[in-house]
Amino acid sequence: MPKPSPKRKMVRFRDRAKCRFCRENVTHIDYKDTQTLQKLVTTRGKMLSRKRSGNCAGHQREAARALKRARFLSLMPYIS
Amino acid sequence: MPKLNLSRVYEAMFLVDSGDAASWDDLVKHIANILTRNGAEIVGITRWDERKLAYTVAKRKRGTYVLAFFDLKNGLAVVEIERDCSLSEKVLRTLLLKADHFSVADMRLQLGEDIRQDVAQRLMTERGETAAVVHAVVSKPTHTGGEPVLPEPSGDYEPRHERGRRSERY
Repeated sequence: MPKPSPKRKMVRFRDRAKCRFCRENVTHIDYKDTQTLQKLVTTRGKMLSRKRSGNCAGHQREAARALKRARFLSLMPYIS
Repeated sequence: MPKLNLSRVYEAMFLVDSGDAASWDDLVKHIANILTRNGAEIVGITRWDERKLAYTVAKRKRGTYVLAFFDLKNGLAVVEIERDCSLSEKVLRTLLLKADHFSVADMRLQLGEDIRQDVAQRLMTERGETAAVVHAVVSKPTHTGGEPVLPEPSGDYEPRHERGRRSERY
């Protein structure tokens, strides 16, 4: 299998200096903030991977927790 | 060693039927009764939002969210409150969380006018907070009725093959 060129990889997943929450010094991701959570899921409601969301490990865990709480309260879909 | 008699603020979100929420005073009395009879001191109860549910809950497509903050000395009472809520016919879903990361100003932002000033003032003096401390990013939704305005999922990395096999790899 041919190796993908490094240039193409850079275009698809650009490296960011910081994750979107670190940039704004967010300490806690709230499950009520559906507008933010909406940006972290696909159109089917599946959560984006760290690679795709660009989140740091800590904020990805926080976001996953918030999303699961929002799903339980029917603020966000489990599937769609 | 945990301190005894340490009071802690909790946040509770209740999902109720919109029909029950129409008689608002009765509903607040019902929820306040569940909380106070388990030893909670209520900071505020507010109608957070009325919106279309992401999936049907107890055959309902729409629901009203009721947000409450309360102060509790006995942490074991959380289980009792959860049980009372599950037995209640008006409350469809309950989420109870510790809310220590919220300052009093955050609670005021989320509760709006429904905050009880005397309890808020007591909490502020206990915690040594000033009115300027705000961490919360979510305030009470301002739109009244109608469909919730949800943005299209945007972001820098829009999935290219949402339904294809390729997407399953990530």
